[in-house]
Parts: sequence; C-alpha cells; structure tokens
Amino acid sequence: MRADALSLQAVRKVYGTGGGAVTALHEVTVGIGRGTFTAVMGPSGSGKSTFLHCASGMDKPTSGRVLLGDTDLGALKEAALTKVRRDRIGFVFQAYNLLPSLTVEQNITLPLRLAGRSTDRRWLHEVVERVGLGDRLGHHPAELSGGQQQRVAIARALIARPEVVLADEPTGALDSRTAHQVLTLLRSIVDSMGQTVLMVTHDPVAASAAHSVLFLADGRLAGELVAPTPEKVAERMTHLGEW
Amino acid sequence: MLILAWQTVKARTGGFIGAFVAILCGTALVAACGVLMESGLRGGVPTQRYAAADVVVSGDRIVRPEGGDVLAFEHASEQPPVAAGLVDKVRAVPGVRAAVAEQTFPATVVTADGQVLADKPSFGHNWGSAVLSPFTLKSGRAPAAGDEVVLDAGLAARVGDEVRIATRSVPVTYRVVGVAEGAGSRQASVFFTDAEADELAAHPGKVSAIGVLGSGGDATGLADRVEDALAADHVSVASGADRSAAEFDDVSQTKSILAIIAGSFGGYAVLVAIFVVASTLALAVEQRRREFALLRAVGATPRQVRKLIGVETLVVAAVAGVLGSVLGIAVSQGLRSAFAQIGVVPADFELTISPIPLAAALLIGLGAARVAAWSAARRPSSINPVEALGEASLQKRDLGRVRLVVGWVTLAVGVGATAVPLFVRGQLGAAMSVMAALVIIIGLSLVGPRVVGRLVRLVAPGLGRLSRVSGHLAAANALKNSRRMAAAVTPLMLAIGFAVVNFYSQTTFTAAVQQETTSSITADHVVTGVAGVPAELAGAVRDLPGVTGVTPLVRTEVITARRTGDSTEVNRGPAHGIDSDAAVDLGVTSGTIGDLTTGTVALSDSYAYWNDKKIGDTAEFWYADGQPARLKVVATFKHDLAFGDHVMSAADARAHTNAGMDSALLVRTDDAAQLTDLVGRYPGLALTGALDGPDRSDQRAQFLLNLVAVGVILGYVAISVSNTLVMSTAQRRREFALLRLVGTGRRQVVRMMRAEALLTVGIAVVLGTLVAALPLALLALGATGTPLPAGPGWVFPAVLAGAVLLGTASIAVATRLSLRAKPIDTIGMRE
Repeated sequence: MRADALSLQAVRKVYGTGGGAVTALHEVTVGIGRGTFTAVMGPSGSGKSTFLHCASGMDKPTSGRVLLGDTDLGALKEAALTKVRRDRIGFVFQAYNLLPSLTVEQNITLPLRLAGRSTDRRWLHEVVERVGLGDRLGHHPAELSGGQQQRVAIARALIARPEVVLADEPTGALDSRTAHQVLTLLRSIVDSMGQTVLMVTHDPVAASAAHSVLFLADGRLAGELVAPTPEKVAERMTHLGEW
Repeated sequence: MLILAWQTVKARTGGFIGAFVAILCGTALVAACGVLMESGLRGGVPTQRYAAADVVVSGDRIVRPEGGDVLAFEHASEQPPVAAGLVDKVRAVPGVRAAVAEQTFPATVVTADGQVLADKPSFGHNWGSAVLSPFTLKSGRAPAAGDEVVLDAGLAARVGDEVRIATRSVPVTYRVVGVAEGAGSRQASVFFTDAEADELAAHPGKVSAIGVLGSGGDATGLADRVEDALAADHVSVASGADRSAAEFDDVSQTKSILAIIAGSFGGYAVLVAIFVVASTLALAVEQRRREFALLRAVGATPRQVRKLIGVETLVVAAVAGVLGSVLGIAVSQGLRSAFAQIGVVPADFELTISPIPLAAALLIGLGAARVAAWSAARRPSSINPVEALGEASLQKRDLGRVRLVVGWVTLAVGVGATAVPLFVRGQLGAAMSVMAALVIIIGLSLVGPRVVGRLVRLVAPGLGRLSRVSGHLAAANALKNSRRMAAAVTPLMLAIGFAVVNFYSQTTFTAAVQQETTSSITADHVVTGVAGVPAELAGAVRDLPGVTGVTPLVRTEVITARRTGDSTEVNRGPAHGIDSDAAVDLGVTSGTIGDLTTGTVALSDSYAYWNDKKIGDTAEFWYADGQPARLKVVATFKHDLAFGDHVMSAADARAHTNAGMDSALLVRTDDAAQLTDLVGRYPGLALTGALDGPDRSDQRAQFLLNLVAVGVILGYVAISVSNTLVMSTAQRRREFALLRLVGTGRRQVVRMMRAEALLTVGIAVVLGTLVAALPLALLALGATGTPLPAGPGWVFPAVLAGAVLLGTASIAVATRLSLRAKPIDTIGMRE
C-alpha cells in the first residue's frame, strides 16, 4: 500500500441529513499505484463524481481516509488543501478548463504563478513539446480547437510535476478522433514519464486507454478490469446496468 | 497577481464597463461636492465695500452651545452688531493705521411717485466708512448736515437734487450734496453724516462693523493680532476673501449652505456610489463564477481570488477615478449654475477649484471601489472548486436565513416608522417619512427575491395566456429566475420610491404649513412690505376708526440646542414675534398670549413636551442674531406649523433683527378705506387679504435644492439601473441562441424579452408606489388631516414613465445587441 500514489480507505460519503440523507459512497477502499493509468467507470448516479471529489480533496468524506502519498487529506484545512491541489495534483476537466483572458503559456503556468514559484523554462518547453503545442504559446484559448484546449489543460496539469493527475471526463466534449489523440497523450505521459493518472469517464473507448478500469455501482466498488478493451468494458457496463 | 488582473481587465473590457461607469460617475459626483464644499469654505464673491480695508471686524454669527462637539454649531441668520467701544481697542493694536466704524441699515431712494428706485439691495452708511471701499467724490462734497446725503453714482442723481429716502419709516426728504464712485455693483449705497447714520442704524452704542486699515505689511498677521486683542468680545475677524462674508448677507448664507449641502450631499453620494459600485461588481463577479471556481480548482486560495478581484477593481477604479475627478469640475460648475438658477447661491458666486477636493474624490472613489470589491469578492472566494468540475449550469444558494430575518425586521421597522409623522409634526416628521421609505426599500431589497417571486406567481399565468409563445416563455423565465428578476427590480423600485417620497413629502409638508397659516390668521387685511413694515405702523393702525384687532407679526428664527446623551444637537428653526393674538389664532393650550411681553415666550406643545417645559419655566435659546435668550414661558400653543416652536414678543423679535421692522401687520377692520389710505403713505407697502406661509422663498429654495440634489442622485441610480439590466440581459446570449436554434423566431425572442421587461418594470412600479404610498399617506394624515398627499399630480406619472422607459429601453438595447451574432456561433462559445 505504501507504494500507492493515492489511496482511499473505507471512504463513505453521505449527502444531507436525517430522512433525506443519500449515501453516495459506501466504504470504498482502493489504491492507485504510482505510474499507473486508472479509469473509473460506472452508470450515472454510481458515485463517480463523488469518488473524484473525495480523491482530490475538494470534498471531505463523511468517514474514512484519503491519502495522497503519506498525506491525510481529511486532516487538512482549506488553505492547506488548496496548496496540495496546487502543488501535488493536476486537474483536467471536461470543459471550461482555461481562463479565456490568458494566453496558452499563461494558462499552463497558472498553478506556478498562484504558488508564487518561477517557471522552469526547460520543463515548460518539454511539457509543451510533449502535448504538441510548441507553436501555440502566444494564442488565446478562443483561437484553439477543443482538442488543443484539452492539450493545454493537460500541459497545465503537468507543469507543477504533480504526484497524480485527475481527469474528469476529459474527452466528454470532443469528437472521437480528437478524443483518441487526447487519450493517447494521457497514456503516453503515464508510459514515458511515469506520471500517475486517474480518470473518471462513462465512455468504454476512453476507459480502454487505461491500464485498468475500476467499476462503481450504487456507491460501491463493483470490480476491476485489467488491460481493458472497449468491448470488454462495454460488456461489464451492460452487466452493471442489469445488476 | 497584477499581471493576471491586468490581463483579465484587458480581455474582459465589457464586463468591467459597468463598474467603470459607476466609479466614474461616483467620483465625479463626490469631486463636485468637494469643490462645492471647498468653495463654501474659501470661495465667494470678491469684497466690494471693504476692498480697501485690510481686516474687517464684525459680530460673531456662530452659535456654539457649551459642551457640544466641533460640529455642534449653527450660523445665526442676522448679522449682529459690534460694540462701538471696540473701535478704540482695535485702534490700539500695533500695525493698525486706522479703525473705522461702519453703520449699515436698509435705505432706499424713493421716486416722486412712490416707487423704489434701486433694482438691487440698497443700504445706508456713515460717510466716514466711505474710505473702506474706497468711495471717492466724483462731484460735490461730503455731507455736513443731518439732511444731506452722498449717493453712489449708480443711483443716477445729481448734486443739488432733493431725494426721498425710506429707512425704517415713511420716506424723508434729503438733499444730495455729492455723488461718489466706488468699486462694486452688488448693492446701492447712500451715505449720511456719521451722526445721522448712528441715529438711523438704531442700535445705540453699537456699530455694524469695524474696518481696519493697516500700515502696510501682512494682512493675515494683522488679522491675527486684532483677533488676539478681541478674543473675548464675540466678534469675527476677517481678511482676504473672507471679508465678503461680513459684507454680503447672501454670500455668508451661501457659504454655510454650500458647506452643509456639499457635506450631506457628498456623504450621500459616497454611500450611493459604494452601493452602486458594489452591486455592479457583484453582478460582474457572479457572471464569472465558473472562472473563479476553475482558479480555485487549479490551486488559487480564497485569499488569492479575493486579491485578484480587488486588484482588477483597483485597475479599473484608478482609470475611472482619475477621469471622474476631472469630470467633477464640470459637474460642480453645472451644480453651481443650477443652484444660481434657483437662487440658492448668488449669480456672481465663484467656485474655488483646487486639486485638494479632486484628489480627495479620487481617494474616496478608490476606497469605495475597495469596499465594493471586498463585499463582491466575499462569495466567489468561498466558491467550492467542485463547481468547475460540473457541467451543469451553476446552482445558486437560496437566500440565507440571516439575510431574510434582517430583511423582514428592517421592513417591519420601516413600516413602523411611517407612523411617526402622526405623532411628530413639522419638518422632523416629514424627514422621518423619507427615512422610513428608505428603510422599507432596504428591507425589500434584502427579501426581494421572495417578494418578487410571489408577485410573479400572481401575474405570470396571465402573461402566458396573453401571448402563447413570447408571453409563455417570459412567464417561465420569470418564475424560474425570481432572483435574477429581483436584482433587476430592486434598483428600479428604489429609484421610483425614493423620487416619489422625496418630492411629495416636501410638497405635502409645504401644503400643510400653508393650510395652517391660512387658518390661523384671523385678520381680514394683511400689510406687507418689500423690506418690511415699519414698527410704528401698528400703533397708527390701532388708532384708526373701525379697527377691531391688530397684530404685528415679526418673522425670525431661533437657534436651539438639545442635549441627547453625550452629543449636543443644534437646530435653527422658524419663530415669530407678536404683541397680541387679536388677529391670529395660535391654538393656545395653556396660559394666555396676553401675558406675552418682553422677556417672555410661548412654546409649541410638541417643543414643550420634548424639552419638558411648562408655564413658569425658563426657555433657553439664541435669537436670530446669535444673542442668548432666557425667557419665561407664559403660554403653550398647538399651531406650530404656522408659527414655529417659539413665539415671543414683537419687541424682542424686532430688537434682534437688523431691519428692526415687522414682517407683516395683520388687521381686522370694518373700515378698509381708512387703512388703505394710511398704508398708501408708505412706499413699498402693500395691502392684501391673505398671508403666505412663513419663509416662502427660503422653503422654495430649500425644496428646489432638494430636487437638484435628488435629481443628480437619481441620475446616478438610473445609470446603475440600466447597468444592471444591460448586464443581466447580455449574460443570456447563449439562452437566446438556444431559443433561436430550436426554432424561436428572432422577433419572438425580442417579444419575449419585452414581456419580461414589462413584467420587471411593472413589479418595480407596483412595489415602488407601495413603498412611497404608505409613508406619504400617513404623513399627509398627520399634517393635513387627509391621507392624500398634496403637490402637483403630474410628477408621479412622470416618475413612473421615466422608470418604465429606462427599464424597457435598457433591456431592449441589450437584447438586440445579444441577438446580433449568429446563434450557431454563440451557442458554441464558452461562457
């Protein structure tokens, strides 16, 4: 377990109180190994989003612990959590990932600026090259295609050399060709840079880009699939739906 | 952070225009008030009569009760005279070459047919004081005998002419022995011998002012030495521009009025500016909620988000503030012209413009923006970064419980306060009803979405039935977004309620005063004069056959002090002098007016009640010339709207005014012809059947002044109203695009927005009217006995029409602009 980049231990999350209380996660325990690409799948309402929120420290579990490396996120105050998010976690969202008023380069280096750190030009250069945006640094997000915008978001997620990158439906707003490129990029940062990526999705094709897929149903862990293909994932999903 | 803020401001110019305009106008308004205030302290009209005098000593007009703080003072309305003995004392001060006593009294040259000659104020002086201007003889010689005068060249007389001059009695014939020329044109001057002038000035042992001629050197240093020498003598020592305040009554009044108005108006402007800037910023910030959520998600601390908003606002405020303070110069000139037009300041009054008020306004503008940014940034900085993850449009929290409780309590307090005018009469009651309306508005704006939601539910179904597509959509929007609707309704409602209450509370109060004045004058004839009615006339009229009652009426003012807790409140209020109630009805409730002789006073019931005075007690206050009064209370009365809180003997009242005359003579007679005949012998006197309310011109000026001030503030509110409407409409570009993509016609969208706009202004009109109606009805009930407020009827529909126009036009323009782009482009755009 100590080798895990991120681990959830008996995490339970209840929204609301009294009779209206809804349990979104039931005692979920899972570890995300360093240098792995893990997808989390499940039908809507299965607790995917809550899982990601708790894993990122944006939401506090009702009980249980979330460990990022050795750090217990539940024990941190809001300011310390923000610093953890800034320095140790990278985020890629489905849409509205970028600040429209900043250039590509400013968007990528935003986490460093917020942390008050100076930019390592060589690292910036490497990240930009890897996501294939070398000639776009001076552009504004509005001048980029959807796929390019997601690549900027991935570059931003990498710039602070985080321990884990969390992606929330990163291909949800893209066409299948562009989606494929973005997924390949995510896979390549895991395989060649040793980055840890945890991605939430409902798309079997997207999930199949990962090393392994975790299935969630009704707030409970419902199995794992290693070396997934779109067909296998879809089959499991169909099964979950009937379950 | 600065780079980030600057980038955002550069890229999102549109989103900041609202705040920019609000800060620009706010700073301009505050700068204008600052200029007016500084002019009140340092500006004025160049001195004319005292141009050659280095220092002028005049009676101290400032009444400052013991134990009060720095602000606890009032300006006496009459210029008090100075003891003649001080002339020698001044002469003894080192550096004084000459100290010249000056007498000033009303003296008007009357033509043969009884007309008054001068078209401007005309005053008599002693020839000895001519050196102070200086007036020099153009022809003839100085007056040597009591019946000789020197006229100023403007009066168009020649040496050797015989002229009739009215001072405080019937005109007397004088011989012109010289014509003199001096600086200045604001007033006409008539010079008598020193002895004759002392006689006519009618304040034995006193002089109107002392002019000091220095033996060269620094006038300020001389003024300081004179001031030291006279420290204990209750005088004011002026040099430089301040000399004109001692010379012109209107300038002195203007300066204190300007300082007071600019102070209260400026404070008001600052509050409104903060309110407007804060609400505009809050709206702009709310629209960028997603952006802030993203920032939070990628690691910005709440403090960093607050700082970002603060710095952005500062960037915008700095530009807007600098432009605004420069614009303030133009606004102050505009206000000065407006004030001159309504007669609050003299037409030749000059503003003093220095960088101080402009810099102060800039700082205040920046400070207001800072406060506004702080209040606007409180919510977004606590945004949960989870919001950035979600795709769904942002859920807004319901109104906080605290806000609702505070809102309802405020509303209840406001409604309760509307009843105050039923118990407290007079100006205070009228002011209270305006306050009550404001409190109600604040309460309503807090609970706004609840009230608006309820009203919308009432009206919306009808709207849907009226028009199947546009109306239906508008109704659905209004029902779902009552909070957005409330944000648009609140400023409009505020503008309507504020304007209506302010205007009609003034007119209602004025009408109540007039009504009580008319009903409490039981005379059938009223004698009034341009400068006043000679005091001797009362006796003469009393002796006429057929006369059954005569009351000389002296309109004056008193200054009262009232200690509440630690602070002392000083007020100036109307008062009257009478010597019988033969032709007036005071509504006496205890004692009798028959006992009202020199050294006694009658108090209004409400004043007696609040100050715990009864018959036999001693009432302490200050006369109109700032002299302290300790008078025995002999009666109480209830008609305080017509007579003020203090009624004293006519002799006491006359003794403390410069004119020394009656304001009106009220007569009951069976033989009007005799009276007409007698009055005809006095030029400038007129005989009428009724009397206007007290201080009509003063009240009117005050009223117009209020109107100008409120108008300017309303203009500012209007800017913020259209700001809010334009911004909240432009925000819905994507919604419009979606509607059009699913097949709604362009015109149907426009019609839908028109229906929404009508719903918005309709609710604002209803609420604004309700807000105004309750306080006004109760004020009218208390003051005039009927619940219908008095005043010109067209103002109310005009205010409503203005508000409707403003609201619908703002929404229509924003809608049309939003519909310009192709819907397919707009829908693909990120928010």
